Amino acid sequence: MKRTGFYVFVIALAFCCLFGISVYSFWNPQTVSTEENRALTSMPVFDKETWFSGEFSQEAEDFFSDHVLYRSWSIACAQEFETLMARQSELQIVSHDVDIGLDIAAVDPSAAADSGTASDGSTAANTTDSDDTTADEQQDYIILSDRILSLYRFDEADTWYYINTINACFNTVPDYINKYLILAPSRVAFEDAAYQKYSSDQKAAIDLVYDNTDSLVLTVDAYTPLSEQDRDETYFRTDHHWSQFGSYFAAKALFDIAGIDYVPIEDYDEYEAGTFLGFLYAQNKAAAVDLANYPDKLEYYLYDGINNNMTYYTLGDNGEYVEAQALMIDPSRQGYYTFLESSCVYSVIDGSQHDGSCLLVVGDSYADALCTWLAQSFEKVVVLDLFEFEEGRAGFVNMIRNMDVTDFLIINHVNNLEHVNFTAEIKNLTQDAEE
Amino acid sequence: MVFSSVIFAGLFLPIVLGLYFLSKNRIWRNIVLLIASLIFYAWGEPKWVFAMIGLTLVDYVAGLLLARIKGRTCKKLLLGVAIALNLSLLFVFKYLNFAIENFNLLTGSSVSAFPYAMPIGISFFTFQALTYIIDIYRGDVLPQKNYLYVLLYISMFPQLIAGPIVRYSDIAEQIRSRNETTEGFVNGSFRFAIGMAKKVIFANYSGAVATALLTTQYSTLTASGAWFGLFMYTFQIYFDFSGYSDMAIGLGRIFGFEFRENFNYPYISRSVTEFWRRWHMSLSSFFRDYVYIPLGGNRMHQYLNILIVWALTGLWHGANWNFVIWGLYYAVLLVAEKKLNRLEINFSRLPIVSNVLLLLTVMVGWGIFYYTDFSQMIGFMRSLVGLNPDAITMSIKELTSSNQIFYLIPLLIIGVTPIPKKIAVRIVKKERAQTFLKTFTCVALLALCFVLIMNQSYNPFLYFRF
Repeated sequence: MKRTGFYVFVIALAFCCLFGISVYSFWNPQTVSTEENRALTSMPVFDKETWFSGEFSQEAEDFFSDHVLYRSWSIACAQEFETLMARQSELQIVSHDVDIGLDIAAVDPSAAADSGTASDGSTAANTTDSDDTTADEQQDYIILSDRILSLYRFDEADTWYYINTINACFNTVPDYINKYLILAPSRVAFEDAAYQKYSSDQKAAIDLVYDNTDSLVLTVDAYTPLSEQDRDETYFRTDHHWSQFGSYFAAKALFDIAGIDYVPIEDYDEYEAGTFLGFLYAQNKAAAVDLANYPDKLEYYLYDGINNNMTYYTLGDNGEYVEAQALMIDPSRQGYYTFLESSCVYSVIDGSQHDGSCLLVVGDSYADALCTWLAQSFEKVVVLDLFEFEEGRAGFVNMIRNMDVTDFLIINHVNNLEHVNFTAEIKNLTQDAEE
Repeated sequence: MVFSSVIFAGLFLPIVLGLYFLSKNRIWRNIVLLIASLIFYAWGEPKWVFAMIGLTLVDYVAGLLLARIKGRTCKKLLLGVAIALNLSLLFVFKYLNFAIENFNLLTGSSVSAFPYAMPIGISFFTFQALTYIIDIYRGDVLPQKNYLYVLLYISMFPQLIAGPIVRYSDIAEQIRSRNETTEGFVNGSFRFAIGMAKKVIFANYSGAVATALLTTQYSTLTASGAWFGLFMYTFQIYFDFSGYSDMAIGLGRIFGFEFRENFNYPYISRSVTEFWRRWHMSLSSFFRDYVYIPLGGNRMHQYLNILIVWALTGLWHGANWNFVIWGLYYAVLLVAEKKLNRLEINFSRLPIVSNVLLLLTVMVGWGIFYYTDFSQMIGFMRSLVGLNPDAITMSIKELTSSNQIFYLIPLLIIGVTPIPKKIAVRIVKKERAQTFLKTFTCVALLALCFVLIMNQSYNPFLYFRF
């Protein structure tokens, strides 16, 4: 009996430990999880409405789950456990939820420095409001020993939703403004046939969109010039973005079709900014063990040593915009964040021209690298964060007028055609803002 | 609240255990258990907890009246009313929309759907309530005079949401007087930890692969992929549901209750009849005792009775035609098995062959069970027999899906058999060593599951939706 009593004590102690670990949640100040690239749930308000709607209990469960003691360590252990269960093979295909619209760095700048990862969202992808985070879509990945490919799945309904939405958006923009559309292919489009077969045809999807885009819009073929380049130069291996070098070919295609003067890449100087493990690696750490020791190299280009200044605007507590300064290219931001300070509602890059030209850019994070080239050919480049901008159609039109916008560009990568949340954010520019 | 969640294992359970064992007498302990049970249910169903309380009040009153009324006809009438009231609540929440949907389909009308979602666990607690009044009617038990004890019986949190279906006759005495022992605490905690491991490790990981193949990719599966997905789902549903039952039985044991077993290694069965004697035993015995036998059992129109019982069993699992088909599928199999037995053709004499045949039969059954959408089900069945025209490039995906849990698969296979238990009993013979092993395993599994839960998204038990 005494002996059994000892065992009861041991088990009771285990329950006490679980209790202590869980109760710590109340004092845990952490707001983001770098491991999962998402904001942690905050403690919900308890009132009659939240209780009877079930909102309180659901969010409270998430809150405790998100804030227990040793959570980061637990996640690392759990991922190790999953690695132990898995047999490593030359090729793996896995699926994950994709967070649209969250950027850890925006919520916790130190986090980005730690992880060096980028989110799958937009330029855009930066937010200070955790409520905007929605893990809404499944994304498939091929994991290889030296790279990860994010796969593209064509969906006709989603693509048409996108087409109708961008047409509405272009129609919101006055016709005296030059309008452009760039759909950037993702890396898998240029992979060997053995891997391409797991992904839908990106060229066909791009053509479908371009063929049905408003006739006043200049559609830019980035696919063809990128297909002529070495994919290891134009895209990252551990991140889903194109490199700054890759984005040059899209920029060049835009300059060519629009008849805009530009500085050829040969006149730029190339710099090295160290290595980083990107978003794709962060998403697939457990399965992509080999990649940990094979990070991406980050290189950037400056013309004549000029690193343009940018002013970026965030929303303060009182709802007023707060202004801050940054460099357009800053390797201290790490990884793909090097290109543009994007934790804001919108930013204005001081371009190298003095001709009154102003380009307004909306889209996803593929815009970041692209804008570094465009800045040399415009006086101003304004980059709007779709996920942060809450002023709706009126605010959007005001911005066009107030900024004296002369050119308007929508740019996103093909995968976002299927991410309806992304398209919905574009749609917000054509609708009245919610009170 | 899910048993395999931080809030349950880390907050709710330790607090309830603490308060329970700090309470000095039976009354206070029952009060703690009742309040905890109501909070537990209200946490998931803040509105419908009152419906459950109301339904229990109806059954409590009906139970008292049934014991007092002498006339047989009056008794029958009262029983009929009580059963109708219980089933009407179940019908409204669970079957009304199904009925409306079919009515609209048949008549072309557009009757609007019932706007409320089904309260969690309604099928389980309604059936428990039914056993209470029917057993009183039959004179098997005396009515409980204390309403709170009836409420405790219906709402007891360990088995409230996903069973096992506990009969009042089994625990009537235990509610009033039971012994919480240190052995019970160790054994119960061990059983709880085993159940949690079944859910968090086996069910969730096999379930992730099953979902990837059966839900996301069902239309592009090759035959091997479809079978592999089904194989994983076969494990998932067993470990998920039996895991919950283990946790419920374990919790019950901690609090001094002895619930009946709900699973007895069903996948080692050699016939469909045996399978259903081992799978969800509390439901099978409910239908046997409260539907099949009253209909005439084996004595008259047996096959019709089987058909009715299995159509109802199917419907109990969900308001969808696929569940009815699934139930009828088993009815046909059971009738066929009985016919063959009469002709003295008995596959169960061939140990491995009969087991493999049974497993394949059960797996096909899970295929019907899985898809509530007919077009998906047909698409999947086509894949299963290799007739999917789009199944060209997915073989590597199927292979890599299996790679994700490659080293877990042998454990899954062994885990559905009594082998681990037999080995443990053979190796550790002394009771003291067994207690040590159970304690160590319990603490280790609790810690491991708690760690794994952090990395898993919300993953309710499959049987919550029934």
